[in-house]
Amino acid sequence: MNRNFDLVVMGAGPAGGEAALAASEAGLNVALVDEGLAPGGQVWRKPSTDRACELDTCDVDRTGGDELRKRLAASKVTIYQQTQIWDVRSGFSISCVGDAGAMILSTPRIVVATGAIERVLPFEGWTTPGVFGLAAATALLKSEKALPGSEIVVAGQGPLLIAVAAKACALGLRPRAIVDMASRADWARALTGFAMVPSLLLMGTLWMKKIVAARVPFYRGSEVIQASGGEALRLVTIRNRATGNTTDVQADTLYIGNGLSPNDEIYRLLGARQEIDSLRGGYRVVCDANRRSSISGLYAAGDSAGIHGARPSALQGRLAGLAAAYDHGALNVAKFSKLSRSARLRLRLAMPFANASCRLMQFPEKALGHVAEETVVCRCEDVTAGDILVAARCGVRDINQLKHFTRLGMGPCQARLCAMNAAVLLRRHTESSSDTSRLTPRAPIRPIAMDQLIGEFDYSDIPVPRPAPL
Amino acid sequence: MNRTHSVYRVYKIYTRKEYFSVRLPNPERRHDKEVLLRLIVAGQEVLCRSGQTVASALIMNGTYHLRDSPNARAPRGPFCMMGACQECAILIDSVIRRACQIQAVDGMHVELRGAGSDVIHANAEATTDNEADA
Repeated sequence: MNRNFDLVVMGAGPAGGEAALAASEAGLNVALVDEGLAPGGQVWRKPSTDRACELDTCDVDRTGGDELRKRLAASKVTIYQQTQIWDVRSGFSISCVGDAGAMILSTPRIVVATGAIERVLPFEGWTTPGVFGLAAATALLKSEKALPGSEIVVAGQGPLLIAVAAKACALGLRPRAIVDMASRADWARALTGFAMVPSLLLMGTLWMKKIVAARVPFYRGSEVIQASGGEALRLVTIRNRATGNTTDVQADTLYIGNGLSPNDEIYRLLGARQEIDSLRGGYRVVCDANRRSSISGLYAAGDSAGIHGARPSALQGRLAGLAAAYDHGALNVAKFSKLSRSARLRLRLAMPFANASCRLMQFPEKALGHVAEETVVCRCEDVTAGDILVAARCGVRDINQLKHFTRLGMGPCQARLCAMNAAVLLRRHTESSSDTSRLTPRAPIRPIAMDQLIGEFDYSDIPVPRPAPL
Repeated sequence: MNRTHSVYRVYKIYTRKEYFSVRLPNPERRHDKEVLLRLIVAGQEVLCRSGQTVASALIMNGTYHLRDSPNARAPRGPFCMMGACQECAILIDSVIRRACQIQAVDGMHVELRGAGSDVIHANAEATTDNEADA
């Protein structure tokens, strides 16, 4: 099935949703393509069970998501949910598969708002069933208001850690331990930034209050170094980063996350210019004040272009949508500059908060230095840190070579979880300073089934050329 | 709408000239009408709520170990719960799909195995059976 649109927006989170709405209000024929069940993305995820549908008035993510879904439902935007994009060609033609089968969307302009993925520092036993990402916990809390496990440990860094721990306490599931990479001083430094958004600061304070009231053991400046148990998690080993003291905590479920990184494969597929920016989760898409990237017709918005968080993402999305509408000729200069100026101003006001959160979430690359050789780095193909070391000794200098040597990144997740960690390890072993850390992106960017692509057909529909007479 | 089923209740706050309406959770809302779904997981019945994904139905039921990794044959379970890591890709109604992205449907058949050697073995057995039949 082929369809034409004035603009296709990829991802229906805060950034994508706002971009689609802004462009649609200006009169463009907009398609919004999303993998999830309903608009909202991860941060504004729609509650799915009855129990989770009860209104939680203190939850800003919930109200933000409800608002966005209501506005999208009332708009003229064509929304494709549960649709996976597996290729984007310049010009642009977007190949996707969904419930309705395979589709190709043609459009002169796209907004990429594919969000972020969580980064986890590999440690011994992180592949044990029962170890989940922190983002997994938030996804379950948002969609079902429930968490699996009876003895849980929450670990990692950043605001997400506190949010998950507090919400677990509120469910009556008191964590056995909270393990925070950051020290008290790191949090104190972030406070000035957080103070810029009093409502979110208040929410954070309420979370902390809940944790303190539940008397959860809080390990500051510590990290998880081992999860043991084989088939089911039993024990989590915590190490203090300053003193080196270790503590064992019994647990059946561990939630751990070390910040976010941009989900940027579509930019890479199209060759949009990116810059290294560790504060923004690794890489940031180079774009102008109105979110135009280095490729004409490609607009970058939200965490996929560099981690900022939900509020700045929504504003970036609005800017991208407005810029697309203006470039399409649907908005005049006066109206465009008026609308975009107010969004830019609000974006600037939201930045101190975003920067403070990003600093707390910044991935601890140095900690990758003491990953044990037996630790799995590439989960799909079971490639260990030791395998990477051996490959480096054999002369591997580049991550693409590493892929050929070890199969790292060849599994179904297509290196989403391991590429950045492997690149850091490889750089350490080879002591090279050049950035040879990006795998060549190739379609299909999502594992898709052949029968989904082909769809249902009748043999009589296959055009068979008439054979030449004998 | 039925008083006991609506999620919100609208309260009106009157001022001198106008009124504001505020939506608050309905205190009389009941959950007992919630529909339970039945999944068949490795031959066993597992109950879950409507709206749950297959992965969440399994982990809320205490089943974390969904498959073994194809190379090291190490136990694996769901990890990211948002469709990125592919660790929960198991046989759902005889197709390998990400359990965290599939809504549970009553009567769904779930097998606790994913892509890799065990499935290849299953296929190999099937072929030998067919050959034997032939």
